[in-house]
Amino acid sequence: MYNMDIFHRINAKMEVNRLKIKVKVKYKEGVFDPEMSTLQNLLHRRDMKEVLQIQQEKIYFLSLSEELSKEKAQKLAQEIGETYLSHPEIHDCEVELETKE
Amino acid sequence: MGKMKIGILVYHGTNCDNDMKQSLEGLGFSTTFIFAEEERIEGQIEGIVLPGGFSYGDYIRPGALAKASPLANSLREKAEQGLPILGICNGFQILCEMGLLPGILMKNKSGKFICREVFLKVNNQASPFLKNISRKIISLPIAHKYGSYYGKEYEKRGNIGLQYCSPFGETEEKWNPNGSLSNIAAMVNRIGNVMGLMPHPERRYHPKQGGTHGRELLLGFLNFLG
Repeated sequence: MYNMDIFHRINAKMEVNRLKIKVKVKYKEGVFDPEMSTLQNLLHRRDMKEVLQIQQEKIYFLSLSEELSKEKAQKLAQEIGETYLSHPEIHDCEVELETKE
Repeated sequence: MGKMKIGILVYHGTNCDNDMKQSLEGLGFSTTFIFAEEERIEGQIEGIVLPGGFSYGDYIRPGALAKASPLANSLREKAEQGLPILGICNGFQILCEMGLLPGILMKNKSGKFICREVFLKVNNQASPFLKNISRKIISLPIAHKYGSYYGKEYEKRGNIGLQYCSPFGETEEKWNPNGSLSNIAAMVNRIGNVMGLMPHPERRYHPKQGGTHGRELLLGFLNFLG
């Protein structure tokens, strides 16, 4: 059998040298989301009339090299989020640095 | 007189490239494939087509990764130089994502993939691509899941080229297959050299395909010569 322990050790070592950043992307107010609208209709058909609105949010987890300063990492994540992960016309993009405990 | 040479852009996942080549060559153009992994658009090219398909698997959003491809800067340069660029289906999505056209294409209002024939109202003034279309209303097939046009203040950066309509040219909401803003099916930039459209003209160029309404649209490349 494989000795899985070695993989855990490698992963643990890599975890230490990482800055973790969350990039949250969601639709702007007033932009129609067909998926959530369909889900809401379905819930209404199942007698869950109390559901007034459903919104979805996508979260991307970025791991960045710790050689970057926190400001630079935040700036880089913001750039990636605004250029590739979201579209300014329909999305709101929010960057959040995860702090170590 | 030599034939006009059109470059067909091929991304990973593009699948209408060979249809495009056949239809353009059938109409008397000469074509060449340009691969998106190359650094620059080389050679004497008088027009560019971005055919339909699923570039980079439509990951994140359709066209979102294509704007990060190595060729993107060169394509942007060519657009600024005034070279005619026609984006069809996924090509339209890529042009919108790159910012060469205003707005964005979102998921259809029904949430479903739509594949059917639609009627389109032509705005002849918008672009040289549309100048010579003799009919006021043409009929072309659409096939997409992300074709619902949305854009704030799109009229500042572009003009409407085609609109979904009834067989008699009425642009009411009930003739809109996907929930596009103002029934928009095609968008043209301010100058008129970049056009993106959701319907597929390359699927209606030969009578054997059931219609020839796409023919005049593809021949619109000739209006950019001289």
